[in-house]
Amino acid sequence: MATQEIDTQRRKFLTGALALGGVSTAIGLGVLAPSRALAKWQEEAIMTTSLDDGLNQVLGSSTYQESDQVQLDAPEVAENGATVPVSVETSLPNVDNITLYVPENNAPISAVFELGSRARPSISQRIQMADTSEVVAVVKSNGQLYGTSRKVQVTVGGCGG
Amino acid sequence: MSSIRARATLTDGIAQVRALISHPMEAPDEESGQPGHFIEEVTAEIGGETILHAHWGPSISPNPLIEFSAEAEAGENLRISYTDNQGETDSYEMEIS
Repeated sequence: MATQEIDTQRRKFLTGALALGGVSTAIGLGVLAPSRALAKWQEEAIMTTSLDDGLNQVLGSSTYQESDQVQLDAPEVAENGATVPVSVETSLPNVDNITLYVPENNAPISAVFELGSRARPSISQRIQMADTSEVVAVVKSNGQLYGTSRKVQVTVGGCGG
Repeated sequence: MSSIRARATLTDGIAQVRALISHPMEAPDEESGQPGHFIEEVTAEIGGETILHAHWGPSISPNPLIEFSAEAEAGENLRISYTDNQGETDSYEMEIS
Protein backbone atom coordinates (compact mmCIF):
# COMPACT_ATOMS: atom_id res chain seq x y z
CA MET A 1 0.00 0.00 0.00
CA ALA A 2 2.66 2.44 1.08
CA THR A 3 4.86 1.38 -1.83
CA GLN A 4 2.01 1.93 -4.24
CA GLU A 5 1.50 5.49 -2.97
CA ILE A 6 5.16 6.31 -3.49
CA ASP A 7 4.93 4.84 -6.96
CA THR A 8 1.99 7.09 -7.81
CA GLN A 9 3.80 10.14 -6.55
CA ARG A 10 6.88 9.16 -8.44
CA ARG A 11 4.84 8.76 -11.60
CA LYS A 12 3.30 12.21 -11.11
CA PHE A 13 6.73 13.69 -10.63
CA LEU A 14 8.05 12.03 -13.78
CA THR A 15 5.06 13.20 -15.82
CA GLY A 16 5.67 16.74 -14.61
CA ALA A 17 9.32 16.53 -15.51
CA LEU A 18 8.47 15.27 -18.99
CA ALA A 19 6.03 18.11 -19.54
CA LEU A 20 8.69 20.63 -18.54
CA GLY A 21 11.16 18.85 -20.80
CA GLY A 22 8.73 19.31 -23.65
CA VAL A 23 8.61 23.07 -23.13
CA SER A 24 12.37 23.49 -23.04
CA THR A 25 12.70 21.29 -26.13
CA ALA A 26 10.24 23.56 -27.92
CA ILE A 27 12.38 26.58 -27.00
CA GLY A 28 15.55 24.72 -27.93
CA LEU A 29 14.22 23.86 -31.36
CA GLY A 30 13.23 27.44 -31.92
CA VAL A 31 9.51 26.62 -32.14
CA LEU A 32 8.81 29.55 -29.84
CA ALA A 33 11.33 31.88 -31.43
CA PRO A 34 11.34 31.22 -35.18
CA SER A 35 13.22 34.36 -36.20
CA ARG A 36 16.21 33.56 -34.03
CA ALA A 37 16.29 29.98 -35.29
CA LEU A 38 16.35 31.19 -38.89
CA ALA A 39 19.30 33.45 -38.23
CA LYS A 40 21.29 30.68 -36.53
CA TRP A 41 23.38 29.61 -39.52
CA GLN A 42 24.40 33.17 -40.18
CA GLU A 43 25.24 33.74 -36.55
CA GLU A 44 27.57 30.73 -36.62
CA ALA A 45 29.13 31.83 -39.91
CA ILE A 46 29.81 35.27 -38.51
CA MET A 47 31.33 34.00 -35.28
CA THR A 48 33.58 31.46 -36.98
CA THR A 49 37.33 31.94 -36.90
CA SER A 50 37.68 30.16 -40.25
CA LEU A 51 37.20 32.70 -43.01
CA ASP A 52 36.68 30.11 -45.78
CA ASP A 53 34.03 28.21 -43.78
CA GLY A 54 32.20 31.43 -42.96
CA LEU A 55 32.23 32.69 -46.55
CA ASN A 56 31.06 29.32 -47.85
CA GLN A 57 28.13 29.41 -45.46
CA VAL A 58 27.17 33.01 -46.17
CA LEU A 59 27.90 33.30 -49.90
CA GLY A 60 28.26 29.71 -51.06
CA SER A 61 31.88 30.29 -52.04
CA SER A 62 35.05 31.73 -50.55
CA THR A 63 36.31 33.15 -53.86
CA TYR A 64 35.17 36.12 -55.91
CA GLN A 65 35.97 37.82 -59.17
CA GLU A 66 37.91 41.08 -58.80
CA SER A 67 35.79 43.92 -60.19
CA ASP A 68 36.34 47.65 -60.57
CA GLN A 69 32.58 48.02 -60.46
CA VAL A 70 32.78 47.42 -56.72
CA GLN A 71 33.98 50.56 -54.94
CA LEU A 72 35.39 50.17 -51.47
CA ASP A 73 36.34 53.24 -49.45
CA ALA A 74 38.53 52.76 -46.40
CA PRO A 75 41.34 54.86 -44.96
CA GLU A 76 44.91 53.93 -45.94
CA VAL A 77 46.00 54.49 -42.37
CA ALA A 78 43.66 54.06 -39.39
CA GLU A 79 45.11 55.53 -36.23
CA ASN A 80 42.45 53.86 -34.14
CA GLY A 81 41.50 50.30 -35.12
CA ALA A 82 38.39 50.52 -32.93
CA THR A 83 36.52 52.66 -35.46
CA VAL A 84 37.47 52.30 -39.10
CA PRO A 85 34.90 53.83 -41.49
CA VAL A 86 34.26 51.61 -44.50
CA SER A 87 31.91 52.26 -47.45
CA VAL A 88 30.92 49.87 -50.21
CA GLU A 89 29.06 50.80 -53.35
CA THR A 90 28.55 49.07 -56.66
CA SER A 91 27.10 49.81 -60.08
CA LEU A 92 26.46 46.08 -60.63
CA PRO A 93 22.78 45.09 -61.08
CA ASN A 94 20.52 42.93 -58.87
CA VAL A 95 22.71 42.96 -55.78
CA ASP A 96 21.16 41.08 -52.88
CA ASN A 97 24.17 40.63 -50.59
CA ILE A 98 27.12 42.74 -49.51
CA THR A 99 29.65 41.07 -47.20
CA LEU A 100 32.52 42.81 -45.46
CA TYR A 101 35.46 40.91 -44.02
CA VAL A 102 38.85 41.49 -42.46
CA PRO A 103 41.12 38.41 -42.85
CA GLU A 104 43.40 39.40 -39.94
CA ASN A 105 40.59 39.74 -37.39
CA ASN A 106 39.87 36.85 -34.99
CA ALA A 107 36.31 36.66 -36.25
CA PRO A 108 37.06 37.73 -39.84
CA ILE A 109 33.53 38.32 -41.12
CA SER A 110 32.52 41.80 -39.95
CA ALA A 111 29.07 42.11 -41.44
CA VAL A 112 26.69 40.52 -43.93
CA PHE A 113 24.04 42.77 -45.46
CA GLU A 114 21.07 41.17 -47.20
CA LEU A 115 19.40 43.72 -49.44
CA GLY A 116 15.75 43.89 -50.42
CA SER A 117 14.73 44.86 -53.96
CA ARG A 118 14.21 48.52 -53.01
CA ALA A 119 17.62 48.92 -51.42
CA ARG A 120 20.47 50.60 -53.24
CA PRO A 121 23.73 48.59 -53.16
CA SER A 122 25.47 51.14 -50.96
CA ILE A 123 26.46 50.64 -47.33
CA SER A 124 28.64 52.55 -44.88
CA GLN A 125 29.65 51.03 -41.59
CA ARG A 126 32.30 51.56 -38.92
CA ILE A 127 34.23 48.39 -38.15
CA GLN A 128 36.96 47.34 -35.71
CA MET A 129 40.33 46.05 -36.88
CA ALA A 130 42.69 44.16 -34.59
CA ASP A 131 45.71 44.76 -36.80
CA THR A 132 46.88 46.00 -40.20
CA SER A 133 44.95 43.97 -42.77
CA GLU A 134 43.18 43.92 -46.06
CA VAL A 135 39.51 44.88 -45.89
CA VAL A 136 37.47 42.96 -48.44
CA ALA A 137 34.01 43.75 -49.83
CA VAL A 138 32.15 41.10 -51.82
CA VAL A 139 28.82 41.71 -53.54
CA LYS A 140 26.46 39.13 -55.01
CA SER A 141 25.09 40.35 -58.33
CA ASN A 142 22.81 38.04 -60.34
CA GLY A 143 24.08 35.20 -58.18
CA GLN A 144 27.76 35.87 -59.02
CA LEU A 145 30.37 37.12 -56.55
CA TYR A 146 32.44 40.21 -57.30
CA GLY A 147 34.71 42.02 -54.93
CA THR A 148 37.62 44.22 -54.18
CA SER A 149 40.02 44.87 -51.31
CA ARG A 150 41.96 47.73 -49.69
CA LYS A 151 44.85 47.51 -47.32
CA VAL A 152 44.33 49.45 -44.10
CA GLN A 153 47.33 50.11 -41.91
CA VAL A 154 46.27 50.10 -38.28
CA THR A 155 48.39 52.09 -35.81
CA VAL A 156 46.58 51.07 -32.60
CA GLY A 157 44.48 47.90 -32.90
CA GLY A 158 40.85 47.76 -31.81
CA CYS A 159 40.21 45.15 -29.13
CA GLY A 160 37.21 43.58 -30.81
CA GLY A 161 36.83 40.88 -33.43
CA MET B 1 13.88 56.73 -25.26
CA SER B 2 15.02 54.48 -28.05
CA SER B 3 18.68 53.52 -28.26
CA ILE B 4 18.35 54.09 -32.02
CA ARG B 5 18.49 57.49 -33.66
CA ALA B 6 17.95 57.81 -37.39
CA ARG B 7 17.73 60.44 -40.08
CA ALA B 8 16.48 60.01 -43.63
CA THR B 9 17.07 62.45 -46.47
CA LEU B 10 14.84 61.98 -49.50
CA THR B 11 16.26 63.05 -52.86
CA ASP B 12 14.77 62.05 -56.23
CA GLY B 13 12.95 59.04 -54.80
CA ILE B 14 15.97 57.74 -52.89
CA ALA B 15 16.08 57.90 -49.10
CA GLN B 16 19.57 58.12 -47.66
CA VAL B 17 19.33 56.74 -44.13
CA ARG B 18 21.83 57.27 -41.36
CA ALA B 19 21.24 55.38 -38.09
CA LEU B 20 23.18 55.53 -34.86
CA ILE B 21 22.63 52.89 -32.18
CA SER B 22 23.80 53.33 -28.59
CA HIS B 23 25.25 49.91 -27.78
CA PRO B 24 28.49 48.66 -26.17
CA MET B 25 29.21 46.10 -28.94
CA GLU B 26 31.41 44.22 -26.50
CA ALA B 27 33.27 41.27 -28.04
CA PRO B 28 33.21 37.84 -26.37
CA ASP B 29 36.32 36.93 -24.39
CA GLU B 30 37.54 33.46 -25.35
CA GLU B 31 39.82 33.12 -22.32
CA SER B 32 37.25 33.91 -19.65
CA GLY B 33 34.37 32.47 -21.66
CA GLN B 34 32.49 35.74 -21.15
CA PRO B 35 29.89 35.90 -23.96
CA GLY B 36 30.18 39.62 -24.69
CA HIS B 37 27.29 41.91 -25.54
CA PHE B 38 26.81 42.79 -29.17
CA ILE B 39 24.09 43.31 -31.77
CA GLU B 40 23.60 40.33 -34.07
CA GLU B 41 20.87 41.53 -36.40
CA VAL B 42 19.63 44.87 -37.66
CA THR B 43 16.53 45.12 -39.84
CA ALA B 44 15.33 48.16 -41.76
CA GLU B 45 11.89 48.32 -43.32
CA ILE B 46 10.27 50.98 -45.48
CA GLY B 47 6.50 50.82 -45.84
CA GLY B 48 6.57 47.40 -44.18
CA GLU B 49 8.98 45.99 -46.77
CA THR B 50 12.36 44.74 -45.58
CA ILE B 51 15.07 46.64 -47.37
CA LEU B 52 18.07 45.66 -45.28
CA HIS B 53 18.88 42.78 -43.03
CA ALA B 54 22.32 43.18 -41.49
CA HIS B 55 24.11 40.41 -39.60
CA TRP B 56 26.85 41.77 -37.41
CA GLY B 57 29.72 40.13 -35.66
CA PRO B 58 31.44 41.59 -32.58
CA SER B 59 33.89 43.48 -34.79
CA ILE B 60 31.42 46.27 -35.47
CA SER B 61 32.44 49.42 -33.57
CA PRO B 62 30.73 50.39 -30.29
CA ASN B 63 27.77 52.77 -30.77
CA PRO B 64 27.52 51.59 -34.36
CA LEU B 65 26.73 53.95 -37.20
CA ILE B 66 25.26 52.53 -40.38
CA GLU B 67 24.27 54.25 -43.60
CA PHE B 68 22.22 52.79 -46.41
CA SER B 69 19.81 53.97 -49.08
CA ALA B 70 16.65 52.72 -50.72
CA GLU B 71 13.80 53.74 -52.98
CA ALA B 72 11.16 55.55 -50.93
CA GLU B 73 8.33 58.01 -51.13
CA ALA B 74 7.51 60.87 -48.82
CA GLY B 75 5.15 59.78 -46.06
CA GLU B 76 6.37 56.18 -45.96
CA ASN B 77 7.25 54.68 -42.62
CA LEU B 78 10.85 53.75 -41.86
CA ARG B 79 11.38 51.19 -39.11
CA ILE B 80 14.77 50.12 -37.79
CA SER B 81 15.14 47.36 -35.20
CA TYR B 82 17.89 45.23 -33.71
CA THR B 83 18.41 42.11 -31.59
CA ASP B 84 21.56 41.49 -29.57
CA ASN B 85 23.16 38.28 -28.30
CA GLN B 86 21.54 38.72 -24.87
CA GLY B 87 18.10 38.81 -26.48
CA GLU B 88 17.63 42.56 -26.01
CA THR B 89 15.78 44.36 -28.78
CA ASP B 90 14.88 47.91 -29.62
CA SER B 91 13.24 49.67 -32.52
CA TYR B 92 12.73 53.13 -33.94
CA GLU B 93 10.12 54.39 -36.36
CA MET B 94 9.86 57.61 -38.32
CA GLU B 95 8.08 59.03 -41.32
CA ILE B 96 10.21 59.74 -44.37
CA SER B 97 9.73 63.31 -45.56
